[in-house]
Amino acid sequence: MSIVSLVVNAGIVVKLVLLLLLGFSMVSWMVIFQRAVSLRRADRGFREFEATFWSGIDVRQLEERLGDSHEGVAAVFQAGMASFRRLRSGIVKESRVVTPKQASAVLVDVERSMRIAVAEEEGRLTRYLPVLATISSASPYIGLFGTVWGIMGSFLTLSSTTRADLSTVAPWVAEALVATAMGLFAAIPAVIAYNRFTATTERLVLGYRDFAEEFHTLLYRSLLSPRSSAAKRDQ
Amino acid sequence: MADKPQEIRFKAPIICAVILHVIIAVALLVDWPSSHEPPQDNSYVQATLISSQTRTPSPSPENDTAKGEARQAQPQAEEQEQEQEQEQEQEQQQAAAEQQQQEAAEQQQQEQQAAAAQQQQQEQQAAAAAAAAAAAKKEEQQRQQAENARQAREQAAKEAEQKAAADKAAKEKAAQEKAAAEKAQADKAAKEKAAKEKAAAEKAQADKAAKEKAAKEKAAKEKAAADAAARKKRMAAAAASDNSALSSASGSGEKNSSKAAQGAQAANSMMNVIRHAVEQNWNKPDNLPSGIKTTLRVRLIPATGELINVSVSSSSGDSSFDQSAVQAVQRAAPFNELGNAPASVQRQFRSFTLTFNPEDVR
Repeated sequence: MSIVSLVVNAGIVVKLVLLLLLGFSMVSWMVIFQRAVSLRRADRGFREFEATFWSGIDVRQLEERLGDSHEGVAAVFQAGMASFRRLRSGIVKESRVVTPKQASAVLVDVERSMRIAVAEEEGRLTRYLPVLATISSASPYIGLFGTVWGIMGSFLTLSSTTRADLSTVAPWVAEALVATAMGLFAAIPAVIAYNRFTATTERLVLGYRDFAEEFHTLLYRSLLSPRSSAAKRDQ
Repeated sequence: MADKPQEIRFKAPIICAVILHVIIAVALLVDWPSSHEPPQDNSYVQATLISSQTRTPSPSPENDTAKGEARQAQPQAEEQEQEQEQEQEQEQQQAAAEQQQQEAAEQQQQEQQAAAAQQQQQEQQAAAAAAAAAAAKKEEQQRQQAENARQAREQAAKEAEQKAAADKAAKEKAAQEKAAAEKAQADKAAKEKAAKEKAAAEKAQADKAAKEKAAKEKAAKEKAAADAAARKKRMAAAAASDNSALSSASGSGEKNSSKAAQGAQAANSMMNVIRHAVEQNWNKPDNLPSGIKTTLRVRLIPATGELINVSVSSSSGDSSFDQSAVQAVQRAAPFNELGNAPASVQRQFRSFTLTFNPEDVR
């Protein structure tokens, strides 16, 4: 009377449910591992970038150092820089002096491009999390379905037997309950991981937005300052 | 462009997830058997076995009823043992008393013999050959008399007629004394000496019943005191003889009961075997009312353990329950183990009773 015998003796529907739930569990753990790694990496990247950005490094140098491949907050920074440089070069070509009106128009554009970058990053961070959410909310119901189905079958069988005491009912019920157990087994890690990953993602996105705001202010000041071409941080 | 490395990074998570599931599955498979085994040995409903002790030589008729249940049989056996022990103790005490008595008698005889020997010596020293021959004759008479006295005493002890024996002894003693006095007519002084020596020897020999003996001796010398002494002795001896009679009877009973106790052990183990077999084959009906109980009388062929007959001797009132019990016995029927049991045990299982009591279990 082990778990194995329970599973082997179960009906076809219960077996299918168990198989589905096993797949769910597999997928959810896959996502959990993948997300855990990638979120940890994003978190570390964000902290490192902030540290270097506020360390007084030249923006151009920072841009060069980041290079081509970038994700997380670096992507936001590069999006802002690219937009800013392109607009500013256009203005400088037409007229030597940047008027406040032109500057604000440029900065609105930069802000927009950075907002888009943040949204993209957020999408990347939260990717696959809906899978976890689905698994965590659906697998208990699927398990419950298997249980109800199994108990239904057991009662149907019971009606044909003359004697119905606990010893004849118990195996059926145990068999049916395996499905619920499996559902919970798949759902619980998914729920915990989903909540944890969502919290981490929110914190990161908030950090990105803060950075975007600060970078935007920085660009605005550099644009209005006399030596605008330098585009240096004045802090 | 950043998607590709992420997609590639899925390889490791897949491996991790698979490994995790395998570990969990293995843990489940390994842990379950060990944790599931203990609760499997539920004890089945017990049927208690009653042995009918009618065939065993049980001294008390109440055993049959008192030994109703196998559980009660042990305390009963213990009681019996206690009784036996008590009897043994009594017997020992009685034996001690008898020994004392015998020692007293022997000492008396020895004293008499010693007196006779002394008389002989005196006669040899003083009297002629004819007198010696007469003395020899008389000595033989004395011996015969002593033997008679002993036999008489033993008889008295057994028949509890100590009074007569005591009287006899007193008379004999008196007669002996008289004879001695007649014989020792030649030297009165020597006789007196002998008497003194006798008294000394008596005192030296007397260990346990010294006072009684001294009183007896004195009584023998002085007829006035003899009655009181004889009475004392008679009472003690009467008590001793009563006890001895009892002890001999209980001794024989004890032998029988000790045999029975040895047999009872073998019978008990046999009973357990049979009871177990019956329990195994008992299909207990459901929804039994509380306190239900039925008793079956089972008759077997002792040599083979085959079932001759099983009948309900005391019905529970529930015929289906009775029937289930009867079926259990019939299913368990050839008790082959009985064939290996000793013959005395086999005889006991010619007929016995089984009590089915489902509430005994929990």
